[in-house]
Amino acid sequence: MASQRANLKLAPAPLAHGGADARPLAVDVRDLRKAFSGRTVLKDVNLAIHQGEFVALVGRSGCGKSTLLRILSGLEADVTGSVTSDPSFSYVFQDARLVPWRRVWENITLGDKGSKADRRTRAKAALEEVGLSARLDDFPVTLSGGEAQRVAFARAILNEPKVLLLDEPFGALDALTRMQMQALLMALHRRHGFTALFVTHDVEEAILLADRILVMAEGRIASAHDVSLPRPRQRTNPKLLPLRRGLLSELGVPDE
Amino acid sequence: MKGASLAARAAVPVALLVAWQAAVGAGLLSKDWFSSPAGVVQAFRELNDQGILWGSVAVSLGRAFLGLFLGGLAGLATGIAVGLLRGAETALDATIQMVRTLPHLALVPLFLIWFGIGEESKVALVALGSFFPLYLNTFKAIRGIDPKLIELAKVQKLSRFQLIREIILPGAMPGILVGLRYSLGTAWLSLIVAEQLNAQSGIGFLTMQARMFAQTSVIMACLCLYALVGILADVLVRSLEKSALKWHPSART
Repeated sequence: MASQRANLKLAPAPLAHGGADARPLAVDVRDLRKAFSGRTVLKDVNLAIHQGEFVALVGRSGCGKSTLLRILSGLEADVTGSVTSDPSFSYVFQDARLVPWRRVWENITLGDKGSKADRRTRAKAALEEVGLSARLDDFPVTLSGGEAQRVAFARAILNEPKVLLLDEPFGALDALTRMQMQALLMALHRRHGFTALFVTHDVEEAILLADRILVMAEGRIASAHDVSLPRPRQRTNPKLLPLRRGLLSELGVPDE
Repeated sequence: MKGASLAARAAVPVALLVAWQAAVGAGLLSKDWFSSPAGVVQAFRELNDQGILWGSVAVSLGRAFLGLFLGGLAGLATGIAVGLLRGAETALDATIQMVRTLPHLALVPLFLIWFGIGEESKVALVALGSFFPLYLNTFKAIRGIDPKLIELAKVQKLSRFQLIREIILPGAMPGILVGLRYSLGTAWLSLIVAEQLNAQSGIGFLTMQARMFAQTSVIMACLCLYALVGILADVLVRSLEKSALKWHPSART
C-alpha cells in the first residue's frame, strides 16, 4: 500500500486507513450516518486519521463535509455509527468568531481558568506565534478579517490540542491574506505537530496544504488521494496539475 | 457649523418663551390660567426661600429610586431566570405577559386599598411600573444572543457559569440598559401619578397645594422639576451605556 502514498494521480488510497501508517489514530469514524429531519446528510462515512496527519476534506457545498466536522467537535449529536476522536481538540470557524466584548487576550484564553496575569502571558505567547502581539489589548472590532482569524488561530493552539478541526477557515479572506494564512497554518502545523482536518471547497488550497485529500460527495467519502510532494509547495508546480485536474473533474468542474 | 446649527435649533424655543412672556405681559393670557416664564422663575425662588424646594425633590427622588430599585431588580432577576431556564419560561412568562396587558396605573385603586395612602402604595406603584421594561428587555436580550457565540462556547468547553459570565450577560448588557432606560421612564411616570393622589411631601404635594391656591406658577415650576429629573436620569443611563459598551462598533465613530 505504501506505493500509493507516492502516487499523485487519481489512484484511490484506502479510505479507512491512510496507507501503512504506523502512527496511532487521532480520529476514527466508522459507519457514520446523520440525518436532519428525515434528510440523510451523511451516509456510512468511514474515516481514519493518524496522529500528526494533515487531511483536507473537499466537496461541493451541501455535501456534508461541514456536518462531519461538527459531529467530530460535538456540535451535532443524534448520529448512528461510531465516532472516536481525541478529546483534546480545537475548532476554527470560517468567521473568526471572536467575542466582541472581550479584548484580544481574553478571547484567546476564553474558557481558561487561572489567574489574569497568567492568562495574559499565555495569550501573549500564542499571539506572538501568529505575529500579532501588538494587538493584545484591543477589542475585536478594531481588527481586520485576517487579523481576527490570526487571533482565532492563537486561541486554537493555546492549549496545544492534539487535533485541529478547521471549517473553511480562509473562506472569507481575500486572496492575498489567504496565502499568508496558509503559510501561517503550515508553520503552526510544523511546530506543534497537531492532527489537522481541514474542510475547504478550494482544491488548490487542499493540494498545497494536505498530506491526504478526501473528496466528499452526497454524504459519502467518494475518494482519497495522497499528496506526497515535499513542503513548502509551489502552487505553480507542474507536478500538482494532474491531481488538480483530477479532483476538479471529480467535483464536476472540468478544467479546460 | 455646530454652533450655528445649535443657534438655529434654539431659535424656536427661545422665540416661544419670549412670545409667552410678552403675551402674559400684554394681558393676552390671564395670569390665573397661565403663569409667565418670569413667574415660574419667581416661584422657584420662593420655594427655595421657604426651604421646601430641595427637600421635596429629595423626597420624590427617594420614592422613585426605592421603587425602581425593588421593581427593577425583580424585573432583572426574573428576566435572567426566564431567559436562561426553559422551565422558568414555561412557568412564568405567559403569566407575566398576561399581567402586562393591564396598564399598571389602572391598579391604583386596588393599591390604595392594599397599601393605604402612605408611602407604600406609591413605592409599590413605581416598583410595578419598573418591573416590566427591565423584565421584557432582559429576557429578549438573553434570547437574542448570537447562537454562533453559544456554539463557540461549546467547542471552547466553557462551563455553564463561564458561558453566563463571558457570553450571555455581557452580550445582553445593551438590551438590559435599554430596559433600564424604559424602566426609569415608567418609574418616574408612576411616581407622578401616585403623588397626585395623595401626598404629604414631595413634588406632588407641592403641586396639590398650589392647585388649592390656584398658583399656576408653582404648578409649572413643579412640571419643570419633573422634566429636569427625567432628563437627568436619561443622561445618566446613557453615560452608563457608553462606558459599558466600549467594545461596541457604535462606540467608535
